[in-house]
Amino acid sequence: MNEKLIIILIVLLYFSPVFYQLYLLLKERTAENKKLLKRLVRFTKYSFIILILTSTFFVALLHTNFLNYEKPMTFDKYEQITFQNFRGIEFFKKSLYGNQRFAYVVSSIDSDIDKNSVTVQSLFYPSRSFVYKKNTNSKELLTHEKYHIKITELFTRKAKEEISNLKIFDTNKIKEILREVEKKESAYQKEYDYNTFHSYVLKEQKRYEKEVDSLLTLLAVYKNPKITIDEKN
Amino acid sequence: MKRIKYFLIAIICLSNTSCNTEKHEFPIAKRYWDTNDYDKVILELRFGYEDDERKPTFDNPAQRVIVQKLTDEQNFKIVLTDTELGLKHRNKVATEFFNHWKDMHQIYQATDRKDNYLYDLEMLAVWQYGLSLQLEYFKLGNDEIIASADDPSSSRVKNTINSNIQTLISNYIIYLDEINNEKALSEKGKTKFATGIDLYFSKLIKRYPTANFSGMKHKAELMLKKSVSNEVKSSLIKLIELMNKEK
Repeated sequence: MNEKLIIILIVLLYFSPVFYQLYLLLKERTAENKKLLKRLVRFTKYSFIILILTSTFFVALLHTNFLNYEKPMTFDKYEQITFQNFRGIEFFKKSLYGNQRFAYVVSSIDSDIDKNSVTVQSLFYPSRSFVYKKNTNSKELLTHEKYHIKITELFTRKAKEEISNLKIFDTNKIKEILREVEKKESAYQKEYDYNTFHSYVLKEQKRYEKEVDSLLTLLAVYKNPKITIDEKN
Repeated sequence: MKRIKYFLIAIICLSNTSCNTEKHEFPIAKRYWDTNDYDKVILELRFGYEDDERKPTFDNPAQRVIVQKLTDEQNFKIVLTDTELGLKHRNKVATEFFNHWKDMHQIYQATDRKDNYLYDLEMLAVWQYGLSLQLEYFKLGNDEIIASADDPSSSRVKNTINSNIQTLISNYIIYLDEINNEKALSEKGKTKFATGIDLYFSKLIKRYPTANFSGMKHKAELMLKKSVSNEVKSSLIKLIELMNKEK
């Protein structure tokens, strides 16, 4: 059945008492009308409040599964990540290009600018990441998803490299670097998914794995999240 | 009462809009079609259309993409030539693609009352997709035979491989049979048919230069006498010359 139709039917069913009241009001134009109208307004108001609260609850749940929450993980815990950590909930997306065995990962570059230091680190969000089945034994799918995390870490290190090359501590410049790196990271993530076609093209997947691993090794010196800029030097 | 009527009409219209889905659905947005996609698409194209309903064609801008995706060789090449994947897996996928191609063949076979093909360009595109697929399919099959043989250089293994190559050549010869039906093709169709000979037959001969092409040569010579299309004749002459050169 069409999803839109289901939503419309649910909303109609939900508001059926309101519609019934409306129907009564329109049918019988008596002195009781005012009383009924007041009741109708009150009913509608409460109904909307409940609907907004319920919707907010589900939207929040869809964004982050707070019912099965796990705090964001830093890259040093990368090896520990399995599909058991993918705790997100998905209500609407049932398949990816017709494939019901799909997953997605949410990761980001987190930064904190201090007086003369900056902390930049990649984070993996377990409660926002989704897998169609937690006990799946698809190593290829897990590897593909985990490389998204590695890509985030790679760009985090690139950002740290650029920041550490700054001669003076300039907050605006640091923010600009972070913004640019985030843009590049997002483009690279898309390119990775496009070229590997979400791990379907194994040859491409392996090429990316080699590329990302070698670049991470190359930037291993920027592993530490904190960079201190000493203006004297 | 009037308002309720309007309200009900609005709801019905809204519901109808929501129910109104595309009559024929194809995974156009998907970059590569796998065998599951082919399963659904072939089923739709073979049995989802009314008898008098036009199927997707190259000259229909809105639906061109469907037949382009259907006959896109990258769909199988992306898996069959991926050396990171196991040989057995690729062979299994190749077999599935080959079986699907046999079903695909039925999609554009319709002819009109004058025995002309209704979809000659599309029918030939499907044919050529199959010629390309078979090159990979038979190669993978032979590679697996060699990989799993105790003695890959034994005469038994060699005979099996040669027999497979001869089957592949015989399958290619069937393409030349279309010349018997040349009248059913449009001028554009004849050009496309000739391009198929130039492209795929030369690939076959280059891949197996020492194979026995006598049957194909004989067929090409017979068809050369029969064909009235200059383009087809020219392609056949080039084919015969290539076979003579590789001898």
